Order: sequence, then structure tokens, then C-alpha cells
Amino acid sequence: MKVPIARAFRGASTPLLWYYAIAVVVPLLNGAAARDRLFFEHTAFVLLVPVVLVAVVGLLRRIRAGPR
Amino acid sequence: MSGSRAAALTVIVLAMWGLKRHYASAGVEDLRWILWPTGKLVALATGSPFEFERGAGYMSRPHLFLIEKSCAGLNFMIAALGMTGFALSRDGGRGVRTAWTVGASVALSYAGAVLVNTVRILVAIWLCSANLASGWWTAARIHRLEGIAVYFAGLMVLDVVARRFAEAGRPRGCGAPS
Repeated sequence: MKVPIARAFRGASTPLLWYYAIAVVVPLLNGAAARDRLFFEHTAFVLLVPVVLVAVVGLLRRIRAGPR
Repeated sequence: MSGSRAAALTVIVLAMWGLKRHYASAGVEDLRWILWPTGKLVALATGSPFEFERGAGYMSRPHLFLIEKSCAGLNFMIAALGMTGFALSRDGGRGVRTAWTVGASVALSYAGAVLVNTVRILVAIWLCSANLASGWWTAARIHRLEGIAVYFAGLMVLDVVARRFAEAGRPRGCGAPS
């Protein structure tokens, strides 16, 4: 169960890194946290949605591969 | 790191910074270079025109949908530019190869931003008409969730495309034992 999910996260690490850098780190450095009261909710979405997507892709791969 | 890779990455990082600066100060009129093709593709897919409204963006009256500044996909393009730039410059090279790396990264990130943003807007129009909002899941939150999912999936696809590009452009050694 763990291997396909770990592999999915390894494959997604570059896009994850770039997405987090541009959607979370850059706005934080620009002071968005102090200006925008919705920033924390937005950041929670940005951090969680890709992780859930990658985990679902890993799970689907595991199911498609069948029992070993 | 080779000198040519450093040069390519410097140009790419400067381009990313320039895009971010441009986005911060631009009005919707200044973003027509990315909003216009997106609006055209969405109009083509939906069969209803998106007309430019000064100071607002591209508006579809039948769908009551506005493609405004925050819908431009500029942050996606900046992330895509960095990601493809790093992937394509991995093999180094000189002169023409450095220019190819920068040119291909800009082209891939621009085309990717327009296409992924088109998909995002088409799904958003469909979600609006499906009227899924209820309780905590407001229309704004559903729109945000959908945007993040589509943009991230788009980056995943673009990462694969950039790796294939890098593979295709890699100089091959001959006479390797098989």
C-alpha cells in the first residue's frame, strides 16, 4: 500500500515544490498574511489539495495494480 | 553548475521576477497578451463569445462569467517557467543551447498557462451552472478548490512534458554497448 503512494509523491515532488513556492512562500514574503484575512484559509487549501490529489493517484495506481 | 546553465537560470529567474512585478502593477488591459488567447479558447469551447470590457476583463453574458485579472494564470505561468527552466537546463550546453532552454521554457510555460487556465475556466463555468454550493462549501470555496486542483494537475502534466523535451534535446553518446 505504501510503495505506490510514496512513488506518487516522489514523482510529484518537483511540481509540488514549485507550486508551494509560488502560491505560499512568495505571498508570505510579500506580506500577504498580514494584509489578507483569507490568506490562511487559502494557504490551507493550497497545501492540502495537491497532497490529497497525489495520494488519490497513488491509491488508484495501487488498486489498478491489484493484490500482490 | 556549468556557466551556461547558470546563465540560463539567471535569465529565467529574472523573467519570473519581471512577470511577478508586471502582474502586481498591471491592469486588465496590460494582461491582454495572456487573457485574449484564454478568452478565445474558452469562447471556442463554450460556443459563446467573451467580449473585452475595459477595466474588467473578458465577459460572457450568456454564462454571466468574467475572466478578470486574477484569472490570468500569471502565477501558474511563473511556477511553470521556473519548473521547466530548471528541467531543461539540467544538461547544460552552450550558446544556442542556452537560448533554446530559455526560449523553450518561456514557450512551454506560456502555452501551458493558456491551456490549463482554459480548462480551469471551463470547469468553473460548469461548476457554476451545477450550483453545488451548500453550507460551508460556498461557491467561492468550490471555485478555489477547483482552481488549485486544475493548476496543480497542469503543473504535473507540464513537468512530464518538460522532462520529455529535456530527454529529446539531450546530446546522445554513440557506440554505447548494448
